[in-house]
Amino acid sequence: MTELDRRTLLKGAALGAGSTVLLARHGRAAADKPQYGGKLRVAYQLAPGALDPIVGRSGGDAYYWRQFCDQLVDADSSLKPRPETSLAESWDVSDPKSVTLRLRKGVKFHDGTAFNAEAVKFNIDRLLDPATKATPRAAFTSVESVEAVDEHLVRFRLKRPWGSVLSTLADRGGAMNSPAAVKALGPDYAFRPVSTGPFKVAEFVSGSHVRFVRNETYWGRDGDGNPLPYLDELVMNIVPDPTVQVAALKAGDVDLIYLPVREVGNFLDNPKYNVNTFEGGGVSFLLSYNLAKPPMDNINLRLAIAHAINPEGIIKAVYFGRALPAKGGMWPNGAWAYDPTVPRPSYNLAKARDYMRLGGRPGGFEMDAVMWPSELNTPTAEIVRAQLAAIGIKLNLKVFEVTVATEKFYYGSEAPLFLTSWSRYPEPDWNASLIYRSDGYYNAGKVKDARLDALIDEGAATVDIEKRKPIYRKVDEIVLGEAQMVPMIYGITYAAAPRNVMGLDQVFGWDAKMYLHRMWPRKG
Amino acid sequence: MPSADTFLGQLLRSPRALFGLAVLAVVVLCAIFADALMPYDTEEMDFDRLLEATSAAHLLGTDQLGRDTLSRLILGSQVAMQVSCGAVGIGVAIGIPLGLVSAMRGGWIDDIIMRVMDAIVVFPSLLVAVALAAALGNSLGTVILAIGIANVPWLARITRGQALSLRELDFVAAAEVAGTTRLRVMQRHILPNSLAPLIVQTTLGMGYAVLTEAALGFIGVGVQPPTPTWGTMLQQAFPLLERQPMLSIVPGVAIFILVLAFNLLGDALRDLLDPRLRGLASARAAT
Amino acid sequence: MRRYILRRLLQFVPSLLLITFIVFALMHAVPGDPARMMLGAGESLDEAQLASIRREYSLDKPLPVQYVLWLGRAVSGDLGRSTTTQRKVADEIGLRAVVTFELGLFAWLISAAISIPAGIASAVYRGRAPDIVGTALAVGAVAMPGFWFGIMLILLFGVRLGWLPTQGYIAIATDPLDALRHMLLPALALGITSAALVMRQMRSALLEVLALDYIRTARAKGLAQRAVVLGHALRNAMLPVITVMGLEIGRIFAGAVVIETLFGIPGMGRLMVQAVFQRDFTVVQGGVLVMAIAVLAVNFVTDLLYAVLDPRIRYDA
Repeated sequence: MTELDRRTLLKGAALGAGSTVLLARHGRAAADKPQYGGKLRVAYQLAPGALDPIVGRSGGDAYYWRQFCDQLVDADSSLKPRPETSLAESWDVSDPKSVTLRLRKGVKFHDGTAFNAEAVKFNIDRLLDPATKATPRAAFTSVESVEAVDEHLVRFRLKRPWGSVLSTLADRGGAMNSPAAVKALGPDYAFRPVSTGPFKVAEFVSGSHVRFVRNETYWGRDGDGNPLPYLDELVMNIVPDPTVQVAALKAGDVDLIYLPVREVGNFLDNPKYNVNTFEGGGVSFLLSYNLAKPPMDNINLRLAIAHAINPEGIIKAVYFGRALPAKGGMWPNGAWAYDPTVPRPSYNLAKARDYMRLGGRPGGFEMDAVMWPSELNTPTAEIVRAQLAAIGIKLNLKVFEVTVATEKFYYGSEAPLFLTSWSRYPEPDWNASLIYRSDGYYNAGKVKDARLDALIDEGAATVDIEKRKPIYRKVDEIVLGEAQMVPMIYGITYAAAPRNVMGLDQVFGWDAKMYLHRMWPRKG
Repeated sequence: MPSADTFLGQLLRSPRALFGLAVLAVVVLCAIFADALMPYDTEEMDFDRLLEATSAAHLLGTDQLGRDTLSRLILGSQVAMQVSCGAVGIGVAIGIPLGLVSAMRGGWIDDIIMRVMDAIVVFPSLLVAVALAAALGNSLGTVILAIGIANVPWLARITRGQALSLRELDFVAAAEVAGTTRLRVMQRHILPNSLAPLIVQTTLGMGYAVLTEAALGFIGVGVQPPTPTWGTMLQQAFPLLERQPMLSIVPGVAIFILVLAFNLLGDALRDLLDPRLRGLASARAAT
Repeated sequence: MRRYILRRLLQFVPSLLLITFIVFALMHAVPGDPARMMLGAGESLDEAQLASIRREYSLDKPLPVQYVLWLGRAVSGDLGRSTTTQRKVADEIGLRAVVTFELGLFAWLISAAISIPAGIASAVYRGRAPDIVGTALAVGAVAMPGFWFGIMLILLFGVRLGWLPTQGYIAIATDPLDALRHMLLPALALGITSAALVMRQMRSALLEVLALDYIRTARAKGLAQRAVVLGHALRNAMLPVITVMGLEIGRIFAGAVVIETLFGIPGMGRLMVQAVFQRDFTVVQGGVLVMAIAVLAVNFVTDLLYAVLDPRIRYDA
């Protein structure tokens, strides 16, 4: 195990979450010297909406861009910034009106052009331009302008303090594209991107796969100073059906997949495979309320619903025991903002009935709820329906495809309740600005809450994590205590690979998505 | 047409018709008296008996949420019957009049109607249903409408074919010459004599409707949870194929038996009503 | 004959226009703002972005105008870009269409390979074991949901026996043997219903011909049974069979939608279903156009074949 790996692992352990490796059989050589020249085949469920990081809208895009892009600011699994793997060697966030980044020298894009401050300016300007239809645009509203101070110094001028800048630059907006390629390819750039990362996009076949090849001139090194990546070739196969993925893994057609929960038991017991776990890989099930739509404008009725749901039953039947009841808020395990001590609703039928009485509907009522179908969601919704029937609530499920459902609930005021899941958003400001703020896109009711708005603005403007923690705790107290958005189940993400595939312990990024830079198949 | 008493008698002596009618009777009874026949409430979840195979308590086992498969199967028969009757009903209500008008009016009206029928046939009915569901929302009504629309061309073409050939016959020509209005001609002479192939087609169409609803349910279109349909039961069962194959087998067998019943009944009716219609497929091809 | 061909080809156009316009109208009747749908349930509620999308896709113009604009571009081969992936629709469809075509063709071939010999055997040995078994199987196969048959195949050959891969698709170009192995079960599931129908048609057509006088005469003259069957009867019986097989192509491509979903095959059917679910208008439009052309073309060829094979049919009347 290299030094960097050990540090990362210990950091994860110290925070009480993050990656742990469950080796089916013990005994791993103390220092496995990486072998170069291998090929790795991965199967992944979601097709890229686009390979260009700022244009795609699919939740699965990160899997792809993480392999061929670098972030301006990279982060470890707990979302603490990690300059060793970032394009910015250092940064200065002391001035509330500006952010200065000192860029790494000698980095080149895959097309040979230089990565420098001008390139950063081009990228951010492009992101801010409405004509680009950039997905992360809303996260950059604090930015007034970008300045290339010199070749390797870039400065963002801010309209207001930007507390989440480092986290935001670890996500879509911080992935850098080659200005030359963007200009040359126009709309075709979306699927022929050129960046600075360890792999280069060699080929994209729609509906089938994306093939990457090694970036021979990549600047990154592992802990021993060996050049990264180890692999010569990487193929990410788009396989929408998890059953197919498992079959492919067993048949030896692919080397790495996420495991659907129903298969986890089989693979843990199987000595031919290693399994890696990430607790809190996402919020698998949550209740999203529209605070302006009756009867969910009534806080007691919201609390009644939140207390009537028993996540244990759902975890047992739907997740085969492989998920966690949510003990905190919308930022799950491993995020620095995670706080299980905040008072929040939990399963208690007696309390649920009390709240129904307090809410003036002891006899129950009928209500619509929006949901989107999936192997996990549909049975969960059915269980929820049955559990709510126990306190007299008749839930009418309105089923739509996921993007349509999201749009209908948050923009179309379709129903008072949405049964959905959420990606792992460890940066609390993302959720806070997008959901809890009065004008947030994911604030279904657009109800104006001055307390929350004030807290959110304060949190967004503060950079020091220790100062931000208490602010977001207060946010959670309101959001959870008043049942505005209540997560019920945190997911556990499982990845499996045959024993000869090394580097599995480092596969998870801070968003539980895969980094394949340090993987290599051991021959023989 | 053969007179009523010998017809029924003949029908009941045909083993295929007997099987078909018997199965239909069982399914219809299940659909009507579902509440009384189901051993469990379909939403009753027993978390201690998840994904069980056959047992004394649960004759056909339980599903992922501990619900009784037999009860869900019985309730599912309601949707199966509703879809088959509804879809064929739409086909009859729209297709037959269209076919008659097409044949009687002829000319450009005939052309337009037949072109529209062609256009409908081009669409796989599955995609029509998916598109309709996107526009109108997922529901029983949408599925019935979509499958009904898919049924219309067949009934229209058959009616038109029959009407066209019947027109040539003397007694119809005589009626027309005598000044009987076209409507009456249609009512009195053409329609009653066209019934044979139409009856056969509607019976077969009902089987087709059940198959299509199952396919739609499998890809997630149409009736939504928690209402159980045989198609959605298969959809939920498939990922668990290894863990509990019973769940994937049972609804399929139910669909198979019901559709078989419709098909055998249709075959028997066809043989009885007009043996020359055995080449019904070629009749379809010729239009 | 030439007049007939021309007339049929001309009849395509209104059918095609009708179909594509209906779909166009249907997709736009879907509730919701298409511009917002294109932007996705995203973070940006920016009016500026929405306005630029509306301009780019002419969403602010009336429906018939939008349709004509689309038609104009489609005729020159530009089917626009997918609203979900921004890739050219023509590219997306092209790849998927090839996959579905392979699957459909394989299914059709398997279906023919099973049904024609079975139908012949059934007719020749009428009333005896091959006929009884064959007809029973055929009757059963038609009543069975094709995708359920597929699930049972997966259960037997994949889960229990492990002989065949049960999911996914390999391009023929990449590895022909593996490609066929992957496609065997789906093609079988897809073709089974057609096989049953064609088998019965083959049987009844052959029986009809065998009963005809001139066949009896030929037999009386002493020609061997097999010669009689193969030489005379079959040729005449094939006519309705070919027609049915042509119709079955349409059914096979329709069934592909579910089979592709079941076996995880990235084909047109799957693409269309997903596109409708995701409100991806341009893909739906382009896909319907391609499918309609394909089906109409198949119908046309079938009719032509029918006319060629049986000169007694006169289409100009």
